[in-house]
Amino acid sequence: MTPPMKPPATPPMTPPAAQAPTPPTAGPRPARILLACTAALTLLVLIALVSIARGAVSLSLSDVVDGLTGGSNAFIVQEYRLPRVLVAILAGGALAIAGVFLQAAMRNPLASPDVVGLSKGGGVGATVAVMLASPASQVWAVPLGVLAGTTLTAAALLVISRRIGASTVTLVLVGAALAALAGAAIEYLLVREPQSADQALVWLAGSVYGSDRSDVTALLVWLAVCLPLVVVATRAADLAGFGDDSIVSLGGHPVRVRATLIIAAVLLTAGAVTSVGGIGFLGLLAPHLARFAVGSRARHLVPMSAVTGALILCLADFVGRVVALPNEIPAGIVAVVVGGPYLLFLLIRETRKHA
Amino acid sequence: MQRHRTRRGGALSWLAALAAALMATMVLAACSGSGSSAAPSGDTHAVKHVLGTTEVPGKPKRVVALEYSFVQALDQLGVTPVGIADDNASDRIQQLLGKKISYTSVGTRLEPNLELVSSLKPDLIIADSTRHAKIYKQLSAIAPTIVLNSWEGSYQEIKDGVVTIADALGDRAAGEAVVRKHEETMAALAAQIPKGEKRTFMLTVSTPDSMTLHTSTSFTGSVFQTLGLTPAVQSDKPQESGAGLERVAAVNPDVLLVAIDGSGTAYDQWKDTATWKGISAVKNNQVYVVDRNQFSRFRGLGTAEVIAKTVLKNVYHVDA
Amino acid sequence: MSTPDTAAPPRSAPARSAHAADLGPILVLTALLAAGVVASVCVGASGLPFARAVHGLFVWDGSADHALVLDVRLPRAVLTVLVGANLAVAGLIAQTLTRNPLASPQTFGINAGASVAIVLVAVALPSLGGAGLVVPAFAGAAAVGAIMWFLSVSGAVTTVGLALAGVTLQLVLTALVQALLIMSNTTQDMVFWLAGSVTGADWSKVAVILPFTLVCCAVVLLAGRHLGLLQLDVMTGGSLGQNTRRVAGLASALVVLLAGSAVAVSGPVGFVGLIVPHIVRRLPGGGDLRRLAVLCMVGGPVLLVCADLAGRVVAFPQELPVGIVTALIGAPSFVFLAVRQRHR
Repeated sequence: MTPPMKPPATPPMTPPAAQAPTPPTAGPRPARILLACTAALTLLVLIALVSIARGAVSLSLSDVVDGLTGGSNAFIVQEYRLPRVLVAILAGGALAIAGVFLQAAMRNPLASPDVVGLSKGGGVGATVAVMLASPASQVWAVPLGVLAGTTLTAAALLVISRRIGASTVTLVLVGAALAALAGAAIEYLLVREPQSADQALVWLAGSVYGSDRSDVTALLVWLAVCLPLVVVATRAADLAGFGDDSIVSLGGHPVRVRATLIIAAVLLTAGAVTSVGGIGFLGLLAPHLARFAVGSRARHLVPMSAVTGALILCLADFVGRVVALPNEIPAGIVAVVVGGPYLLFLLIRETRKHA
Repeated sequence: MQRHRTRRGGALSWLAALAAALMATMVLAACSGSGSSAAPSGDTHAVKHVLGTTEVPGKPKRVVALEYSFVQALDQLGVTPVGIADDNASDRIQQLLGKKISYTSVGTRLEPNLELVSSLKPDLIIADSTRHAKIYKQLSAIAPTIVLNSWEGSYQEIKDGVVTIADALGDRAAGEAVVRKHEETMAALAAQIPKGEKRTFMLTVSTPDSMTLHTSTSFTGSVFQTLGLTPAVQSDKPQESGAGLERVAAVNPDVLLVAIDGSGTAYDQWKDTATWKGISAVKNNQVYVVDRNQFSRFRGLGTAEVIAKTVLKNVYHVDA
Repeated sequence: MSTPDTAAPPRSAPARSAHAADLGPILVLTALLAAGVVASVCVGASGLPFARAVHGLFVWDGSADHALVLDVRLPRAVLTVLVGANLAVAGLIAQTLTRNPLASPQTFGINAGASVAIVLVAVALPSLGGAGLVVPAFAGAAAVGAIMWFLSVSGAVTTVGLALAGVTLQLVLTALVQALLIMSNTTQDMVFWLAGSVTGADWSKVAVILPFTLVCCAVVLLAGRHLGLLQLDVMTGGSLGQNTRRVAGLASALVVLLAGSAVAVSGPVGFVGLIVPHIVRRLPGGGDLRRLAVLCMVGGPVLLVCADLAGRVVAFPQELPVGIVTALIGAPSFVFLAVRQRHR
């Protein structure tokens, strides 16, 4: 492994666990990193603009500007498309960063909010909150339920993984089991209330439909509050790639390092799940894609993953909105259907390289 | 945790950029937030509905209906909706109204396409309390919106809904007249049912593998009660889903309406079994296959009359 | 059940007692299964008392009790047994074939593959139903099986990589099912099936799955010695001998047939294929594949029959789909097994 440009004091090795199934590549040159990030950002802005201009009703650039200032298309631009695009960007970014942190904390390339069951746990919390709380108090009850669900799932995962040891396979297995357990709980509620089953299914699949300004504001405030923790966790992420002994020898505190990462991941996931539901797969896919472009160092990986996640969700929502007009297909479904085969393709390509 | 070091500058600048992006979105959101929403002007009247009270101006002409039963109510009030969430099944609207009307489909009832709703420039939107509560705010930003319980509504709620819709259209009296006329029709139909009817009635929807039982609190169940008939399942939940053959046999209704769309459902699997043949309704030849749209999906005043007439014609051999 | 010569070579104990230890778990499981089936026939929405259920089962007098037992309860019990056996044996073979403790029709996406194909057909040709669904179920299961097979033999995909591929496939296919249901407005109708349910059991479904269960189980028992080679042979790229390759092909086909036919009649019931093989490996006796297969053929049904019973009792008179119960039982017990395995 060649260290990038200037060898820092801490070994710049990419964390051993976090690079699989990506092979241990040499850290990309800064120019390439800059290029990748700029390209992704440009693409994101482009897609956001296209999403605002296109849909069931096509708007010209002047229509969009007109709509922004309260013209005849004010609703479509201000109330419908812009909040959707913003929520997609924020939630996609948050889930992707949560994926990076979980992968680092668990030293496991398979970890992500959906695979280890955090999203589904949040879904159970939300469902229970909807059932127990009065309609008026649901504004508060649902986010609290989601937060409680994700936190409990993470706690269960940690307790169990502590007893098992840090084996990646078993941990993912336990996560998958927890996800299935939460899934069964949700299905149980669905069967008891089949009248609202299709709504619940859309929510579980993850959808940006119906996002309004207050959703944008709420998510924005939540993420802004989380930002300092994200900064701290980003610094911890590289460190967490090493074994506990190495962390101690580098002057870190293993438990504290991992706890920071996991708390950050839980908070980010809870925010995203509250606003867009259980979008699967994004937290797994975005970090893997970002790693291809900028390598495994957290200070590059975190922002790149955030942009990638935002890009994927934004694109997925746009495609879901226009592909079957006038019907809407939930963004979560589009993201999985498009993103899944791509990850499989990457896996197969890696297999070929090794063979 | 880690002390600040100069070589961490790269990370920090990235995160600063992230923070800046967050700020930018915040500003953007604030900007868009300052835009004015559709403010009602002129003389308005307040309409009370499930989610509160809405000021509706004058006599709305361009109405968007997001459930089938609202389309039926509007038709009885002499208004043709400009947009309907019809699940992309325009044949259902034709079946519902018995005629072809020209309207724009705004997508599914589950997730109506709000861009299309907005492009129709409606002056009244009628939404359902189960499915559209989450988008009530956005609908209200397009046009005055009233929310009624259609999806899980009982017969009484549907009747009240017609009056509310008429109220929103600026002519409450017309709604009351429609309901009164309907109640007279129903009373006339009910009068033809013999006194002292003790048999139990049930509507089931046949799905692949199982049936959904409609109970006393469902729309059909409450229509049965209005006619003086006894629903076979008394429950405070409108529907009981996933019922197997054994459950239907245990309920043992005396008259059974099976709602079906298409073949290959549980009814086809079950109808030749001895257990099915042991059900009271089957033994006495009182099983009637009916249309699922008409009996389960539409839920309007006209539907109630169709249900009453079907029962009269089949069970009592009276052509009403 | 198990032929004497399949017993693992006796260790220090005399042959006779080793034989007894071999048969013991099978006998216990069989007794449990018998009790479960009897209970399953006696419990239901119409609360038939035990004596009348037994009367209905054995006295063919054309009474309502007899009709109920014959039309509803018995086919349901039999179907549950067959589905349980299919899934458990499929899980065992998948785990042996890939030498991966995470393997099962569910975790490898094979159940989901069959589901997508079935929902697609159900939406496009709703009148097909019943036996017609078996063909798309196999097609879907086989397609996913082929992908996983390619990944597992084509090179250096690690256990983790394979698990990732499986998780990915499962997510993608489940999303496809959801998309199809949402697009066709049939969610309400399919919620039960989607969770995995034997509520709609009847003799025609038994007839659909029975041939596959019989043939596949017979093949497993007859070819057990060859399949057992897979346990010994390290399944990596070049080291596959011609013979082993053929055996691996046979094993893959078995998994697809067993899982596909189970999903066709009962929907994607999860966790049976994952946990039953793990449980039976912990029972006393040798680890011979044929013996494990027999244990799975009895143990899978025990789990599924009990789960179905629980599903019928907890929300009486409504029913819970059996797939929900197996997930509620299966997920925690799998975590428990994983923890214990680690501590040994």
